Parts: sequence; C-alpha cells; structure tokens
Amino acid sequence: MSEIMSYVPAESFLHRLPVLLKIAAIVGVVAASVLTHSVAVLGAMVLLIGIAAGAAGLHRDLVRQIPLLLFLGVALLLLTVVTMQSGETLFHLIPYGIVSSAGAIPVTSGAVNFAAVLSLRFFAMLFVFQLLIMSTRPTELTNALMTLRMPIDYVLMFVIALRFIPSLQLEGQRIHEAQLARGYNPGKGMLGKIRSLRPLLVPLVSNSLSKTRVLGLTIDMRGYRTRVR
Amino acid sequence: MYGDPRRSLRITRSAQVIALIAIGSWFSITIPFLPVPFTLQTLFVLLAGALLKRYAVLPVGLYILLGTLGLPLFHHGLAGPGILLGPTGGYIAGFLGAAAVVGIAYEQTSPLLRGAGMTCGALLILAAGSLWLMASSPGLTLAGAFVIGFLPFLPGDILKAAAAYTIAGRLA
Repeated sequence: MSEIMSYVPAESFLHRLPVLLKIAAIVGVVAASVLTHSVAVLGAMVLLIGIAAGAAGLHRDLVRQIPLLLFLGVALLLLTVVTMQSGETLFHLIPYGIVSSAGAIPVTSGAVNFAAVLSLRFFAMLFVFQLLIMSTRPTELTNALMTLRMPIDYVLMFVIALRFIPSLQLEGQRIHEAQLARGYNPGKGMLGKIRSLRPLLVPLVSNSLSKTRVLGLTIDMRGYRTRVR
Repeated sequence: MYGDPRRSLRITRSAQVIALIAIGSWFSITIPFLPVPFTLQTLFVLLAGALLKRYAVLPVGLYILLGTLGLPLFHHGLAGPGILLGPTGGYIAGFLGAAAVVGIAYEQTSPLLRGAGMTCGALLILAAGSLWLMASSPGLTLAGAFVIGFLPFLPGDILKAAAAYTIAGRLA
C-alpha cells in the first residue's frame, strides 16, 4: 500500500532471469491455476512460488500480504458456504436446537473445497505477479512490453501513469493536511474518512489536470510525433 | 511548430486518469458480510468519462489490462486476473461500459443528458457487477445477487455520480 511498483533492487536469480521468460512463466502459472481444480496442485504451486521467493530473498513482502489474503479467503469461504450446497454435510454453522431442531446453514464439503480452490488460485496469481514486479526494473518491463509490440502511445501512458501514482498520493496527503491546518475537522471513524474526501477531491483533480496539461504540451514541444514511414 | 498537441494531451490525461483510479481503488472500505468493498474507483471512472469524453474507454481499458498484468491497481492494492475472475470482477468490467456511456453523454452539452449519462454509468457498473457476482458464485440467485451486490451500493454510487457531476462541472 505504501509503495506501488515496489521494485526491490537486489542481486538474485529472479532478478537475473530475462523479463520475457518471467512473463512467460506467469502466463503458465495463470493458465495452470485457472485450469486445475485440485487443491493439491494449487497448494504445491503456491508452495513452489513461496520457495522461489524465499530463495531470492523477497519473501518478506509476500508475507506482508498474508493477513489480507487470509481475510479474503475467509470471506470467500463464508460466501460459498452460504450459497453452495454439495457433497456431504460436515457440520452446521448454527448448531442444533437454536433456530431449528436440525441446525441451520449446513457447511458442506463441496463448498469448503470450492472455497479452498478459489483462494489458492488467488494466492498463486497474486504472488507470482508480485514477484515479477519486485524483481523487474520498470524500464526493463517497459522494454519487454515494447518487444511484445505494444503500441508506443500505450507504453508511454503506462510509464507516465506509473510516475503519477506516487506523486498524486503525496499531493492528496498534502492537501488533506492543508485542510486540517485550516481547522477542518472531518471527525473520526468511517464517516470521517468519507467526509474528509469532500474538500480534497476538487483540488486534487484540478491540480493534476493542470499538471497533465503542462506535461502534454512539453511532450509535444520536445518532438513527440507519429513516426513518418 | 506543433505536432499534434491533442494527441500528447490525450496520453498524459489518460495517464492521469489511470493514476486517479488507482489512488481511488486504494481507498477501499470493506463492509462486513459483503464480498465487495466500497471504493472510490467508481467516482474516478465516471470522472474519466467527463474529462476525456469518448476517449475515456482507453485509460479505463488500460487500467484493467495493467491491473490484470499484475500492477497493484485494484481495490486494496490487489492485482492479477484472479480479481477479474473473483467476485468483484464484474464491477471492474463494468467500468469499461460506464466510461463509454459517460464519455458519449459528455460529448453532448445538455446538462440533462450529461446527468443522465452519469446515472446510467453508475447503474451500469452495479448491474454488471451483480450479474457477474451471480455467475461466479454458484447457487446465488438473481435476487440474492441483487440484494448483496446492488442495493447496498446504490446510495453510495448515486452519491458518487452526483459528486462526479459536480466536480466535472467545476473543472469545465
């Protein structure tokens, strides 16, 4: 959350791999995780990714993601348990005799299995992408995209957007603090969080609009043209 | 002296929109018992339509593509095709349609049409999201998806559409 595109400079075997190979590996992992429905295969894949991350010394950032992922996994589990009934009933969420004599909301093995597959699939994809981002310099990534024949306009958009995100985040913080310094009190909790947005959005958007105007004109003045063939 | 300043402005503005949507997606509030968080993405997607008119589809499409490719642009700083296939994927796909609808509406100058475009865009996101929610979670009925994927977000999204309309009016 604090840093986007958090490239971690280091010397590891993951950093030295060619970018195109890494992209190909990711496509492989994604395809495999979408196609398989077995918990064991997915679990092994997550484990392998974890081992690769550990060997490259990048495991710390992956570990940081785990609480959020666990939370998502539990949410998925709840959703599937409530909405899906297949396989044998393991136990009831609301035990016997409270609502009805037979218990309510049965937890079935099919639902648990399905939720496990979904969450593991999710883990594998997220981890593998994160490893790519952490072990690849942004310029290398852009060059790889250019070799894959992405149009130059879109690659430029991508690079500028990447540059914009942290500065926009900083600017938002600055405007927020400026409003607080003027005595604005948004209050606490979720409502306060929502309310604090109101004096923030217009300056943020209009500031960044003028900044993009300057940047666009600068790009043009420095000779950004369609290539004449 | 000039090449095509509109083109380079389009590029930088699209980049700005991508960045804004990404910032908005980090501002996510998870509501207990709902698989879908409340985020500011919608606001910026609608605003993108107002800022870029018909070209709004470009940055939103690129945003989805980049998020799918693994930049942490989606809600809570998540990424990857897993999100698109997960319960919230429909909302993200709906951004594309919403940006198109709002962009086309903002080609017109009538405030009525523009407001209607905003509302339609917001509703389109919710509709696409709940439909996909129904399709991706087996056993969930249309009514159930409507109750957990549409109704709780309706007031917030109407509010966001109104905010986007006001902000766009102040920027113009």
